[in-house]
Amino acid sequence: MKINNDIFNNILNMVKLSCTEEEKKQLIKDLNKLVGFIDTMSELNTDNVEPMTYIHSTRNVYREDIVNDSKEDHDIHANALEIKDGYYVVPRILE
Amino acid sequence: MKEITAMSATAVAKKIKEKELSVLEVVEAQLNAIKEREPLYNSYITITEKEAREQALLIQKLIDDGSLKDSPLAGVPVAIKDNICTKGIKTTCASKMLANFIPSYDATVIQRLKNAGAILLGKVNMDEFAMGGTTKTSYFGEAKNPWNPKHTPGGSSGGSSAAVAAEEAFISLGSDTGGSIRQPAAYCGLVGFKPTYGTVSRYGLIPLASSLDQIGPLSRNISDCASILEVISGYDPKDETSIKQVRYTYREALVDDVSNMKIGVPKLYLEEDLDKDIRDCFMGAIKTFEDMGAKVEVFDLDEISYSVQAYYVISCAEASSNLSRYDGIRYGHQAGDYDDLDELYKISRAEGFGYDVKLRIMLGTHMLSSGNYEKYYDKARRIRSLISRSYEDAFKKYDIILSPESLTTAPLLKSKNSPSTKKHRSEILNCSVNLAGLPAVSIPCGIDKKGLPIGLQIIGSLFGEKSLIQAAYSFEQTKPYERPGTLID
Repeated sequence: MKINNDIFNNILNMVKLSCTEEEKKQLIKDLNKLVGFIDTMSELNTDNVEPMTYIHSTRNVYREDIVNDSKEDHDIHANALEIKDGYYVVPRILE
Repeated sequence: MKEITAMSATAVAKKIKEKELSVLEVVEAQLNAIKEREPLYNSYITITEKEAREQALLIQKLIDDGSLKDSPLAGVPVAIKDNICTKGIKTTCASKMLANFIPSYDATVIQRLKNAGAILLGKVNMDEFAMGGTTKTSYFGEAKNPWNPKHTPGGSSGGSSAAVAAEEAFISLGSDTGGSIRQPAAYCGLVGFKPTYGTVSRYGLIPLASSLDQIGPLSRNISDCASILEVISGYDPKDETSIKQVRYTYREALVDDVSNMKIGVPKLYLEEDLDKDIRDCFMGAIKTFEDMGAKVEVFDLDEISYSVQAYYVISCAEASSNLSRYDGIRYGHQAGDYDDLDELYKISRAEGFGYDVKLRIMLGTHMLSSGNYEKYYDKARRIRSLISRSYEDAFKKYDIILSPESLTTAPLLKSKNSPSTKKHRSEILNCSVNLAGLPAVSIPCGIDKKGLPIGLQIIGSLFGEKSLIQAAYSFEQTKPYERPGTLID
């Protein structure tokens, strides 16, 4: 299905982006070119083939239940624009 | 200066060990080369001049007291792609989004290099968030090919390749998701190695596609590659996709012998629209291996015909997920003007990301969205299974597989970058390797009529690095490293 204006706006909202009208025109054009190319995947029969994500076997990973002080590793606040009492400051969310 | 900077990493490490050169002398020679050549090639985003000199003095002490006697890289200056976190040093991913980001920790590979006594020279240029094949999408301007500055050094590890080819670093680290180490290595006449997925820790690598990314070296010969691979490889509890292996003694495979090696050449690659010089060079490389005693056979590997489509879906889907973390709050670019939280996200991201990044994350989200997930993402993962299985079957018969590294040599910087059929076809040579998690190396195998390097790709089985290194080493004896003739001395 071609990406039209409505579908484009929906994707734009999902990825939390905005764009100019000019960018929008070019993005729609390039997206449709790529989707057209990707659609050719349907030519290959993949019936009864299991989907694969990781090369090696997937397994749950466990470690000993020992508390690490992660502050020793690195300062997670180091690049924030604004910190107050150890919290990231964000615009008001609740009225 | 040239006498020092033109050496291989292995040779300069030996001279340092035998006290013919001090670490500081080597670092000063390297920094002078960078100062002279950077205005022309723009390989670096950040040069850590002060830190490199300080490290040189510290490392010299450790070398003198014998602490680093077993390290193959003690005192060797290296350049790092700017998507690998370096504590206290800006790590930008060549994006406005992270233009002022300073990590508070080192990636595991950086820690390992430091422990081995390597000297960090700085962070090198790349395509924005590793999305691209030219380095033209860098927020800090394009890098240029030292063989001909009108041409691209490739990408996304274009700064990594330009720096080593221009002798602004002895070795560099890049990252490879769909060819981003191998293709720039080929364009710049270097060796570029993508290890088996899980061999090198991704902790501290700012991710593009988590099931495809691997860090690897670019160097002027395979011996240097083997040395740095030994240093950076290994299981890391901070990256649980890294795999415990028994041994990482890759330098043992630096043996000039391919007699009885069984080599496969996929027929599909011979039918591609290769530039004539590349085709002639590739056929010449096949003959070289045969003359050295290897048995070469053409075989069918048709299942990889849909690699590029599957790669686009999977890499863009994973990228859209990975890049959703850039919300302008905890780190990264934040918009100055917004009305609410939603606008903060949208404007910060719109201002912070370049066009190609926006295109890919939109494509990825579209592929994952309701109604499209099965048709695209699931389908791509099934194709990935088929590709992986086909390679597995091929490696029951062959020790290694050969292919050209790219359809063309390095394009002109001014050529268009939009999606096209030829561009898609050129990616087929590389991305199936990442989908199957295999190791692969690009090595120089000739020069075209325009004077630009041509690369040969050697693909190995899972954890088959040693066969690759042995084949590459044997071939290299017939085609030693060639320096770009255009370098100013």
